[in-house]
Amino acid sequence: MNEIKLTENRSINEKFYTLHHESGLDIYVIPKKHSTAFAVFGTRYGSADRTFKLAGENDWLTVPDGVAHFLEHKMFENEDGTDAFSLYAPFGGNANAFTSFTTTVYLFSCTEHFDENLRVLLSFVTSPHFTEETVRKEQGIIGEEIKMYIDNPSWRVYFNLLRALYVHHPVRVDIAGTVESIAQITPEILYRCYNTFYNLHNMALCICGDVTPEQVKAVADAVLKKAPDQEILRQYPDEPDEVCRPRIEDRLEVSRPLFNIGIKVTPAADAAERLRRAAATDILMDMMFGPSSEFYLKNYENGIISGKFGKSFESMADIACILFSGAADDPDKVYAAIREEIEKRRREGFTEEEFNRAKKVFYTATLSHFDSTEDVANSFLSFLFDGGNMFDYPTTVAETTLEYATECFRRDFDISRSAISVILPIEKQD
Amino acid sequence: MEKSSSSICRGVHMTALRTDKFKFGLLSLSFILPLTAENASAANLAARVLNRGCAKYPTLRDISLECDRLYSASITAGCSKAGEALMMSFYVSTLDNAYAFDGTDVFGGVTALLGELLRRPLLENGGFKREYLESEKKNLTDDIRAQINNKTSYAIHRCIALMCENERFAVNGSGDIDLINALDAKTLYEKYIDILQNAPIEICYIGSMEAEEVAEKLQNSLALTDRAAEIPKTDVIRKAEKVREITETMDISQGKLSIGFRTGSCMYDEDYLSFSLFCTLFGSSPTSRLFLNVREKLSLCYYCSPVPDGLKGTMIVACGIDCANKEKATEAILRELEEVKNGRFTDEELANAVRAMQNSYREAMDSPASLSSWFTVRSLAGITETPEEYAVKLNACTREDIVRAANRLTLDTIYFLKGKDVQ
Repeated sequence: MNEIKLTENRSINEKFYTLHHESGLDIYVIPKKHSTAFAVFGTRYGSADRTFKLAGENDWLTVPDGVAHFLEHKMFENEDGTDAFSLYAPFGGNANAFTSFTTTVYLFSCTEHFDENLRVLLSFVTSPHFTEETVRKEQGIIGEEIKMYIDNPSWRVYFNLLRALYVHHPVRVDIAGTVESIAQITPEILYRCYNTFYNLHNMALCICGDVTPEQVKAVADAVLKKAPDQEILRQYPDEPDEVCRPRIEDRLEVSRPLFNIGIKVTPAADAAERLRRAAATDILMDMMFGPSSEFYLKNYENGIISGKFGKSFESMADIACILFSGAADDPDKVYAAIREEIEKRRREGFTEEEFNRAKKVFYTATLSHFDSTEDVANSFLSFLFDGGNMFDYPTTVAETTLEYATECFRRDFDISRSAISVILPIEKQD
Repeated sequence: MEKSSSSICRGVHMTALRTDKFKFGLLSLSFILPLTAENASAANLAARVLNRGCAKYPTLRDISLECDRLYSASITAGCSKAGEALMMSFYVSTLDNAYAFDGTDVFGGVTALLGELLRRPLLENGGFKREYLESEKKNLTDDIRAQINNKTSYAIHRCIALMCENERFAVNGSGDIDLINALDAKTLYEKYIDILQNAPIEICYIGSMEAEEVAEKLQNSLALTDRAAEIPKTDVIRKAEKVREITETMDISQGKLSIGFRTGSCMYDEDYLSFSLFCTLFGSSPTSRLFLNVREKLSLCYYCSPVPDGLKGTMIVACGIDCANKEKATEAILRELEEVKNGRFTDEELANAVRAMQNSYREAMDSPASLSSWFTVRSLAGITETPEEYAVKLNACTREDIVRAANRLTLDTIYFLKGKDVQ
C-alpha cells in the first residue's frame, strides 16, 4: 500500500507507475514528454447499473434510467452555485466527462498548472451537492441532449440494434434515459447512487503526461479521505443466447438507408481470456472484412458497400457483440454478403499468410494508441475497468495463434445469433 | 520541436516539424485551388478515383496490401474548404522507421506508393478507368446527399449557403451532383493533370526525419515541378447589409438554430487574434457567455457554440433547441453579444479566455493532425507561426482588443430548421 511500482514494456518503449493509494484509490501514471497532460478519474458505474445494493443491505434498489448520466452532469455543480469549469479556469484546465454503459469518467487536459488542475478534479468529484432546484434545471438541458440524439441516425441505428440483440440487458436503454425517466430523478436517488458507486475502492485515476507519480501522490494525499471498504453487489437480468428480434426498422430524414448488423457473443468469464479473445476477434475481423480482404474488394466494386463500411468487436463483462455498420442502398445485401463470407470461412478456414499479415497490421495499430496522452489515459482506464492492462495488449496480439483465432471464429461468429437494424428514409408524401 | 520552412520548387512549400514524440509520423500534401463548383466536383472525384488503383497496384486491395506491408501505413485523400479556397489533400501516416523491426524504410516505401498513385493512375483510352469513375461518382454523390443526415452540421451549412448565396463561399466543398455526373473519364483526367502540374502545393510533415531527407524522398517519388499559379484569395465582406430570417422544416425532434454574422475580422488582418479571443470569451469554452447563460442559466440547449471561418470573416452560432424556443434563444444569444460589445465582462472572464486559448494552442503541438491543418490553412493567409507562438502573443491582448473585435460584428442571417409539428 502506498508504494509506487514501476512496470516497463521495453519492446514498445513505454512504461507506467502504479500506486494503491491509502485512501483506497488505485492511481496509474504513464509518463510521456508531451506538452499536454491528460487525467481521467473514473468510476465503475454506468447506465447498465440499474439494480444494486451494498453487501449487508437487504433490498435491491432499481433506479430510473439515465441516473448515472444525470449524476455526471450534476457533479459539476458546486455547493456555492458555481460550477467545476470555473474552478479549472484559472489554471487553463480543459474539462469534460462522459458516461458509458459501465463507467462514468471525469477528465481534464492541461499544458500547465497540472497539480492545481488535478486538485480541482479530485476535489469536485469527491464533493457531491444535489438540490431539488439544480435537479430540475438539469432536466431541461439533458432533455435537449436526449432530443439531439433522437435525431441522430448513427445513434438511433446503433441503439435499435442493441434492442434487437438483447432481450433484457440494460444496454437496450439509452444511456441518458428518456425525458420521462429523468423526470423521476430526485436528489435522494442521486445521493444513494453516489454513495454506493463513487467510493474510491470502486474508482481509478489514470494520468498520462510529463508528470511524476510523486507529484500525483502529493495531490491525492492532500485531497482524498480514506474511503470505507464496501462491497457493491450488482444485479443484471439473465440474458438468453437468442436475439430478441431479427430485425428493427425505423425511419428518419436520411438520404439512404443506414444499417448496423450485430452478432451476439457470449463473453468469457475470465478477464485475461476476454483480452485474448478480443485480440483474436480483431485479427479475424481484419482478415475477413478489412480493406485488404477479398470480401471488401468484391463488395466495394459491386456497390454493395462503400468506404463508410465499419466493423468492430465490443466486449463488456457480461455481454459482447461483433458489429458492422454503414450506409447502403440495400442493407439486406450487405447482411447476405457477411453471411456468405462467414459460411465460406467455415468451409475453408484461414491461411497462415493472411493471418500473419492481419496480425502484423493489428499489432502496429496498437502502437498508434500510444501517440496521444488522451488516447493513453482513456485506453488505460478502459482496459483496467475490464480487468486487463493496455500495456499487455500488443503482446497479447503478437502471441495470438491461428489455431486459437480459428477456435474463436467457430464459437463466436454464429450467424444464427445475429440481427439487423435499419434506418430508412422517410417516405415522401406526393 | 524544430520547425523548418522550405520550397521544394516554385509554388511547392513545405513546413516540417521534427520531433521524436510520436510513433507515427504524418505527411499532408494539399493542392490549393480556387473554390468553385467545377473545381470541387473534379477534385473530389479525382481524389477518390486515384485511390481506387494505379498502374502498379490496380485495385483497392492491392493498395491496401502494400500499405499493410509497410507496417499499417495509410494514405487517405479528401477535399476541404477554407475561406474561398479548396484543398485537395493526401494524408500519409507512417510508423517511424525506428519501430520497423526488419529495417524497412517505411517512409520511403509509402512516399513511393504515393508517387505511384499520383503520377501513374490506372488509365483506359487516355482517361481514368471507366469502372472506377462510375463507381466513385455514385459514392461521392451518395455522400453529398447524406449531408442532410447530420442535422447539426446541415443547419450550419444551410445558413452559410443562404447567407453567402451570391458568393463563392456558398459552394459545397464536396462538389455539385450534376457537375459530378457530367464529368467523363478523359475530361476529369485532363483536369487532374492540370491540378498536378499547376496548382500551388502546401506540404506539412510531422515526424522524426530531417526536413532535407523528407524533401528528397518526396521529390524522388513525386518529381514535382515549378508552378506559377497563386494561392487563391478569399473575398471578405466586412459588414452585413441587412438581416434575413429563413425557416425550413424537417421531420426532427430538436430545432437547429444557426445565427450568421459577418465578423469584420479575418486572418489577413494584423490583429485577427483579437477576434479569436473574442470568440472564446463569447462562446467557445465552458466559461463563455453562451455556455453560462444560454445553456446553464436558461437551460435552453445542450450546445451553443460559434463556428468561425477565419478566411471568409463569418461566424455561425449553432444551437440545438426546443422548437418553441427560437425567439427566446435568439434574443439570449444577441443579448450576450451586446454585453461583450459594451465591455460588460469581467477581467476574470478575459483571463479565463486567454488561458483557455493558450491551453488549446499548446495542446495542438501534441497532435500531428491539428498541426497539419493549422499550417495548411494558415498558409493561405501567409501565416507561418506555430500554435505555441500564438499562445505567447495572447499575453499582449487587452480588453479593448476584444471590445473592438466584438463591435465589428454585424448580424446577417437567422436560419432555423424546425420540426414538422411546430407552428
